[in-house]
Amino acid sequence: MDKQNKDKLRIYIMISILSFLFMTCSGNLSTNEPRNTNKILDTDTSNVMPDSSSLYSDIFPYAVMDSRGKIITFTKPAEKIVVLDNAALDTIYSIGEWHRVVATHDFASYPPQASEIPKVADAFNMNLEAIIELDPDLVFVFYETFVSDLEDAGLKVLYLESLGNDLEETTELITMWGRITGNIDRAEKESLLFDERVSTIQGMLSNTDSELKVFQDVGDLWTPGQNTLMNTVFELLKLDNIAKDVSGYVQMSPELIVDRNPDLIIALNPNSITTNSIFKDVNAVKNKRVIKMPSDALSNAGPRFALGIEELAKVIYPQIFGNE
Amino acid sequence: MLVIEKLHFDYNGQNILEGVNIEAPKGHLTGIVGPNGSGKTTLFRLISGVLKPASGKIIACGTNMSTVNTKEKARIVSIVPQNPTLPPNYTVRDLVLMSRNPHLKLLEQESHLDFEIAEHSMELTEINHLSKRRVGTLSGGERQRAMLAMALTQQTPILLMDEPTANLDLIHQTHIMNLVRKIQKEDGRTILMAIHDLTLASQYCDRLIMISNRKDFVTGSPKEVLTSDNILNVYGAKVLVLPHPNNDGLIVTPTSNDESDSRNL
Amino acid sequence: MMSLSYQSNTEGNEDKLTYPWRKLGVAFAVMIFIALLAAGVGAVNIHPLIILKILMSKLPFVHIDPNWQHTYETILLQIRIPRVSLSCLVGGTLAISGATYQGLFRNPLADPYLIGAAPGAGLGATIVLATSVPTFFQGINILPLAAFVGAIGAVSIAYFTARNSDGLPLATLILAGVAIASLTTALSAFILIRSDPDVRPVLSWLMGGFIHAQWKHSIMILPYLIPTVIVMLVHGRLLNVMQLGEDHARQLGVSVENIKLLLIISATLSTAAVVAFSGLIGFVGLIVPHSVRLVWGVDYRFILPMSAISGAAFVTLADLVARTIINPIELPVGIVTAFCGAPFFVYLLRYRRYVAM
Repeated sequence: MDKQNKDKLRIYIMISILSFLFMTCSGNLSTNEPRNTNKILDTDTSNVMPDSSSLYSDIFPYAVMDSRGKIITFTKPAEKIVVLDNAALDTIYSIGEWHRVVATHDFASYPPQASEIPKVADAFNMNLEAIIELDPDLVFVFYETFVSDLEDAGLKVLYLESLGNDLEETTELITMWGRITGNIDRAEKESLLFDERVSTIQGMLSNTDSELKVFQDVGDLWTPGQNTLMNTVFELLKLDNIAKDVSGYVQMSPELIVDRNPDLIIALNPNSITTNSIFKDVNAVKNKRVIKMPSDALSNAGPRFALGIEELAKVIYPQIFGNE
Repeated sequence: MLVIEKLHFDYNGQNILEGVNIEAPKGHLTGIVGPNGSGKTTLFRLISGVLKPASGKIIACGTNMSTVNTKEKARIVSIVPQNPTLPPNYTVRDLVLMSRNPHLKLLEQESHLDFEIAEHSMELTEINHLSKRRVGTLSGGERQRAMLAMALTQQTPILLMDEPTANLDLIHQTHIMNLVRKIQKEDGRTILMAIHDLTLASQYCDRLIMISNRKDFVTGSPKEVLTSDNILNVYGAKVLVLPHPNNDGLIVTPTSNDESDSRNL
Repeated sequence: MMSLSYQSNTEGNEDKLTYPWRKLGVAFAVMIFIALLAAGVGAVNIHPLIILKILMSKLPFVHIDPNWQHTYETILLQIRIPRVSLSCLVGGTLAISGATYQGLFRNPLADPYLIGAAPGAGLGATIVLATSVPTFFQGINILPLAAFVGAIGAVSIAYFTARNSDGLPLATLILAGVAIASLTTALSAFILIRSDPDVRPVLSWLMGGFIHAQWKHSIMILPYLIPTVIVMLVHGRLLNVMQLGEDHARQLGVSVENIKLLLIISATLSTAAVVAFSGLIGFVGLIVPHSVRLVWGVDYRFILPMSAISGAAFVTLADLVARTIINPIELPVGIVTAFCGAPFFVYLLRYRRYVAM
């Protein structure tokens, strides 16, 4: 859970979906958070679609409320999308709509194809001219800095601050991208698969009650506390986060780490823990349970996130999850 | 005594001094006169070792100054600089004590003896009552005396003074010159003094050296040096040189070419 | 008459002749008290009695039954006390180096970072933290090494830029330092922009802190600190003379060029060594010497040791605040030094009618 997540901390997603059909047929549309209760009625829509087909007319017009509370309406699938967010890249890739992504930012790490498309932004800046030249019909960003610049340039912008602490938001994002790209069937499948993976893990751990104490060091003893997606993962994996008494990402006092004595440490740099004599009496170090994240799958809350949880579960509970 | 032979100095390819010869006899007050930019201050910086000559010799008390290190130089020659920036927050006594540095090793601190020497210098320069005042609060005359006390505390056989009367009013000029004379009489120090005021120079100096065009022009007693011809040659100014009514000195006063001349006549 | 006045003057000098050991002693005692306090208080609450027992048990010939939680021993002996030790060394070094630079450059804005040490160390740290350069090489953390090399490198470049045949003009050195600082800062910024968007480790390093303090860090920096701090301490009297300006000091027998070189090397080496393990703790090297000067006067023979003691006490106290004020969260100590130090300094400036230098 390193990289981007940390910079997109503590932010809620406000998605409300509006298509007449799904308004009536699905109960899975709003997030759990009370502030996200707004469901936007698409008043323009007069067509009533009785069955769920993949025809675009079923899906569109489709409206999303962005993190500013502005409603972004889609009347047809976005063909050329500039995606400046790793979770969104992962999501679009997983639903087979990668060909729509025309550009991304420097930190796109997944899928591998990301290295082949133009990079139009880095950590602090965005190349507005390059984006305009690509003439995208949607720019997706996770931070607000450049939203008005993009809009002033006449571009359609979807700005969603990402990553609350709720896995359900991920499935909602998958569905949202399904609608934006017009591939709702695949999105539904992916979203279902995601839920299945998560519930499978939950199921396999239902009999496990050995709450291992865990500490995650994302660098310099910064660690995720309460209200982070990572803490949700720990809860799901029946791990007891020793930093759960604080909220968000904090730098943890080494005294407390020793005092709370984690059984498992997930470190960006296991060396930095194991070679530090301070921690030599900590259970995790004594029992050689200082591990690295198996992959970067848990760094983005896209569909791969479920795989990331699986990978982590296998490392932590080899006896339950086998070695495959 | 101080002997300077054929001293040359150039800075960035520009000649500042071109073969200066000076002899300052032991126990005498030798004055150096000359127009602005004739190289007096440079000469003093060369003698005190701040600058290095291009060629020529500086021999002070029999020691060739180019063969000794900074500290040894500072035990032979002390200087009262013309316009130093003094640290305002130190007390006068701290300031004067700094001059004991040439006699102290790195780790050595001032002893009772050093304090006594400093006190004595302050006594001589009549600033004892100021010893606990901060330097920043001193008047021009007090500053000048404090710097003189510093130079005395250095206890060098040779003392250089660069325009000690500059920026002082009439009464303070006489005061400081009388002090210098008194000190010089008392301990027989060799003093070399750059001085602008030719009248003062004639009254207080034993010998004068007039510098012109980066060289020494004429050396001798004040009466020999301060002739209206010499002054016209070196300064390009017409002056009237009169004998002083009350002492051996001279009164040197400019005469303008036209009106004032006619008025005097 | 003469001898009489000698007598009275000599008596008046007694106070000057005796070095104010007493003041230093009191300050040192206060520092030790703060260090003990800092060792006694922390994120984990350990009863003072247990602390005493743990410490006693480490003394030779003392046998106490270890009936305490053994993690307490680790926390106290491996985390807290090493941390206090490191913060004392770092604070003391930054303050004495700052005092030295203020004296040498005769510049009230001088601090140990004046001629490029901080941005240089920052660049070194940024390269390690924000690029693919591995933080660990054969199990050894190379971050301190990179910061150390960066600091020394930046100052050396500034030094050799400013140096000419006549010596080392200090004003030029400051300007060269400013130029090198902007260059290295720009490089760091460039690296940060091209890197992972998570700049937090770099940021917390730049703000300074002792979260990773270990005994070995204190031990590793001691070989650098002992000679350099001694060099700075013994130059107190000469720094006083240097206040007259370089020419005047030279005329008083000070080998100005040698002293500049020696003091710049000492301050840079010691600063680089502590910065390598503490990150860039700002403000200490600037305000501690000024505060000492404000309260106790201008004599560098006193300012230097007093700055070292006060700096050690100040940084240790700041770190105590940094690690306990929002338990269990650690704050970068640089935030605390600035936050507590600045108002105190403003107070001194305002009410002491301070004339800098």
